[in-house]
Order: sequence, then structure tokens, then C-alpha cells
Amino acid sequence: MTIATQAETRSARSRSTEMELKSRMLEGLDGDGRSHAALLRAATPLLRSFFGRRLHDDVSEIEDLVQETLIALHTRRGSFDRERAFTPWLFSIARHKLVDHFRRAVRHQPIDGLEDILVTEGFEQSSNAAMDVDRLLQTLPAKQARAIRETKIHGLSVADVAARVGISVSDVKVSVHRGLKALSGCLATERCR
Amino acid sequence: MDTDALIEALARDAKPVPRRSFERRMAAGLSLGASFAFLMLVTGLGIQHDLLTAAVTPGFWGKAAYTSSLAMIGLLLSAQLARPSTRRLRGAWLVAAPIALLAVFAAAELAGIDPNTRSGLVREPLWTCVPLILALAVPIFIGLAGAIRQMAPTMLRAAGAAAGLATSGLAATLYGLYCQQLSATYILTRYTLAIALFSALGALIGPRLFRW
Repeated sequence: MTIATQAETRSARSRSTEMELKSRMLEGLDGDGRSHAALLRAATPLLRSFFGRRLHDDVSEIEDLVQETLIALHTRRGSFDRERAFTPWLFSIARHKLVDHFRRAVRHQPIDGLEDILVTEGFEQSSNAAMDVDRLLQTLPAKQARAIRETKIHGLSVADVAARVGISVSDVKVSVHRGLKALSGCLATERCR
Repeated sequence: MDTDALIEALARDAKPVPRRSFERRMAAGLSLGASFAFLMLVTGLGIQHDLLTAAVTPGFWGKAAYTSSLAMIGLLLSAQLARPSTRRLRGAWLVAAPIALLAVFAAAELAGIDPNTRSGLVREPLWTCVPLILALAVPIFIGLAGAIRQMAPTMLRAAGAAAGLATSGLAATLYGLYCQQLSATYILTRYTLAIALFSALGALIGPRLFRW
């Protein structure tokens, strides 16, 4: 799929955001400090909502991750490919920081009373449910499974998923629709494997 | 620290990033390491003395093509993996192509050997050249890994393996200047073993090495 058709199908709003962010990024790379500041300021609300959707309550944690991502965006901007879109690059870094955060959180989980925490938070049910969902998604083609996981479980918008995977918005919608239809079909007949 | 203050501080530090800085850093790290490995080769092992006569044989070039194509594929993958991405890796299957091609040559070579005398079969043990290739790969890996660390890899294990493939492929190419063996079977087993071992080592240390 060419860049042109991707851009055509992407919603007008996210397209203008992407163009705006990318031109600020390119100017910043050429040494324009004001453009760079504008880029970081524009990225901040995007990152807040990205982390906010995933770490529902903890405001200070969200802000820490936003700042860490801004610093990484700044120190590792040499890894940005000027030929490519900016938003997928930004969210890849954010996702990397989020994964790292979860990894640290697991390592620093206090042992005392851990059992109570897990039980009270419905950990068992939710992790069993997550495993069931994973198993079901594995029966689908990779593209459909990914479209469902990113939109329905991780809570990304269809446009974000399209930009990240590099396929059109309608392709994402169709994949989600077909995947859900296939799953409901196999669940009804109990032949999911 | 307040996020707005952080942004101001970062923006004051917005030095220009030269175009192609990614490619330049990767190339600089690789060539620095390779120069060091070449120095190790010349001083420690020495270049084969009949290099000029060897250089006209197709076997010499075939060997160089095998190892350098693996190095090129490793570099292609390293360049993709040094950048943050959730895209699927492209070109990983290419690794199989040179190995399969050399396996065909090796099979033809073995078929041509008289099974009764088994003359012509190289009977050096497996570990003769493997450690030397691994040793030459170390400085090149340090150079390339140093460059990748400054980028933003997100698939750390794969990045380590790709860097290992690129650098051990290059090390094996350099080693080919010293080693006079041109047998396809010999190269398929020894050189490939060394490259596979070093790539596995890269995959092993990648997550620690490239963490950010």
C-alpha cells in the first residue's frame, strides 16, 4: 500500500496532526529550538492520553512516563527516519517506555500481602480472562488478531492502529469486523480450535 | 520536575542533527571495529602469503561472497532494528538463501569424493577456525553495538542477533584472507557454525546491552 492511499483514507484530523508534528520534528532536527519546543508541547497531551488509557488512576506515574518519553524523544531523535511518519515513531517509543515501566513494576512488587492485593483486584479472573482472549485470538489470522487486540483491548483508535501497522483505516475496520464475526461464529458452535 | 520546565530545558539543548547521522554512526562504529579486527588479523595471524594467486580462483571469491552476503543481511536487519518500530521485520528470511546455496555446492563436492578413499575430505576438527572467527568478531561487535545503543531499538533480542550476524559475517570475511581452505563443506560447517554461535550470543546479551 502506498503512502498516498494511506493518507487519503486516514482521517483529516490525524493527518493534519501528523503533518504538523513531522514538520516541527524536521525543523527541530535542523536545530530550530522553538520548533523543537513546539513539538514537545504538542506531543505531551498525546502521550498523556496514551499512558492515561493504560494506567487509569495514577496521575503521577502517568506524568513520569510522559516526561521519560519526552526525554527519550529528545535524546534519541537521531534514530528518526526523515522519510517516515512521525506519529508511529513517537508511539513506538511511548510503548517501549510503558513496557519498561510494567517490567519494573513487576520487579518491585512487595511480597508482603501480595496475595491479598492479587485477590482483591480480581487478578485471577482478569488474568484467566486475558489468557482466554489470547487463546481465542491465536485462532485468527495475525492481521485480524492484531486489529482486535489494539482497538478493543489496548483501546487505540482505528486511525492510530492504521498508522502504526501501516494499513488503511478501512482495512483495520474490516479486519476487526471479520475477526469478531469469526470468533462469535466459533464460540457459538464451540469449535474454536 | 514540571513538564513545561522540562520541555524548555530540552528545547534549549536542541542541537542540529546532521542528515544521514543514523547511517554515519552505524558506518563509523562498524568500520572502527573492522579496522581493529583487521589489525588483529594482520599482526596475530598474518594474511595468507599467496593471496594474490588465491585471489584469481573462484573458490576464494565464492567464500568471500558467502560470508559477506551474510554480513550484509545482518547489517540490513540491524539498521531496521536500531530504530523503534512495531512493523514486522523485513528480509529476515534472506539469511537462508546463501546457506542453502552453499549447501548445494557442498553436496556436489561430497558427491564427487571417492567414498572408498575419502581423499579430498577436509578432516580438520570442527573447532579449528571457529574460535578465531569469534575473536575477530568481538571488536566489530563492540563498534556496531555502540552505535545501536545510541539509537532506539525496541526489539532488543532481535537487534542483538542481527548485530551478531552482521559482525561475525564480516569477521569471517576477514578470516577468509588468512584461511586457505576453500572446500564448500568446510566453509558450510565451520564458518556457518561460528556465525550462528556469535549471533546467538548477540541474542543472549541484546536485552541487557541495548536497554534504555
